[in-house]
Amino acid sequence: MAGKQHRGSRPGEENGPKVAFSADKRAYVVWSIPGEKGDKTRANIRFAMDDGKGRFTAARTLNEVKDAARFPIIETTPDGNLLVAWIDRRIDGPKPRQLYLMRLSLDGKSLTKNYQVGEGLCECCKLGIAFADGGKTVYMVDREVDGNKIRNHVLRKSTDSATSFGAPVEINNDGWQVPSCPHSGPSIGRDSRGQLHVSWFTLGRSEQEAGIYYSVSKDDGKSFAPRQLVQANTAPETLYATLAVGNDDRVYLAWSNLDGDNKAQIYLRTLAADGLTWSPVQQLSRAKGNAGRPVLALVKNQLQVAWTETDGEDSRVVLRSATVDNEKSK
Amino acid sequence: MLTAVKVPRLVLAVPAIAFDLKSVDGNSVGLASFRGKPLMMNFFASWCDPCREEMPLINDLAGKAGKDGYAVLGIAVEDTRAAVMQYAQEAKLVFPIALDLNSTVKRAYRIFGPRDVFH
Repeated sequence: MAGKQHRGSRPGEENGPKVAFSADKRAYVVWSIPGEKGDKTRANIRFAMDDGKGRFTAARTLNEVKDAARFPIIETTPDGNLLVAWIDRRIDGPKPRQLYLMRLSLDGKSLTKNYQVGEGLCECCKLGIAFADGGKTVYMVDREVDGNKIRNHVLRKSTDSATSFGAPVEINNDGWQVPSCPHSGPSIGRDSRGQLHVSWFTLGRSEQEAGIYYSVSKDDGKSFAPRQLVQANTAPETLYATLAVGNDDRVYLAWSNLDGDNKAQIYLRTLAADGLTWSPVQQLSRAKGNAGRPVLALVKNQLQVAWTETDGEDSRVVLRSATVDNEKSK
Repeated sequence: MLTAVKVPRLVLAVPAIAFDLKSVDGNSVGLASFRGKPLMMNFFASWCDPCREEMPLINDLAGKAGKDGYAVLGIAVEDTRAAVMQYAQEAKLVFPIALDLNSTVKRAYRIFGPRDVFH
């Protein structure tokens, strides 16, 4: 794989900026900024877009209730709009967090107000979105938390372009009881056959269960196959996973785990279209300090993997790419 | 003879794992400097919701530490110096904070992530 580096990035939690691109390659960015009192756990969602002249538009705040929104994601929808989602805490106190959405046009205009589509979310794990049927069907994944602080992942499905969602479907009953912040959410991808692929980290019911897991739904999100272990934890550590699905229905998974020197590195594995054949685990990083928070993108036949490396106070973003066979078999 | 008695997340009569870190001010902070008194170590991050929710209690305990003969040490994990300093100022934290920038102490204590408290 070829590589590039960019120095000066900050490591940290999962609440980072997200970017989406339109078909004409315009960039749209969302991020969160701390609220009035500087509290980054009571934040606001900011939005800016490529102005077509080499700069970005002035940023504006999307959440209508101040100091209540974090973990934004943004996607361009197949029907030519932008969908922004985030975890909201405008209903605070003992109730779990809510899932809020907002739709924008590709010109950046608001097409809807903020609206709630779910509740019971873990307060600090990234969200995932996939689309089908030209954007009429929308799948979202998130980590839920119940009254006993047990955190499992769920799929939510909409068939009316994210206007409303059905009851959440549990992906697997991991049973991870934890009172603190995993900051490690699920990822979802959809293949050409309509199968939904999900990856996530859990500690499960004991440290021996901890690891990166994968599951698939072959009935459009009604149910999920028993989870498969992609790689077990090598030591106690919260891991971070992400996935992408190729045109050939191959699934690419990237995640972090500790190496033999107790440093976090990035690993990659693929699952063939048959859903049975796993590649060996490949280590992508050789960080002196730690590597974490991988992201994947698959464009034509280029697989791009980026992650953050930290070593003391030094941090950087590393990008590696590889040419892959991404054509659907005839 | 000491006998180890295990309770959830707490093992008594076992030596704590030694460490040497830098504080947010750049000074050395080692476990050895707390020898001779009970020490509460709070593993936290500035971005961690439950950490922030319980911090007033930790800070209150730290405020009484000198008088009551124990010590409190914050160990910031998976964070940056700037973010920790900003949070410490904003929350008016009164205890020393060490930076575990490479997660070496977090891993030695087998902590999956913030938050966690050892004493």
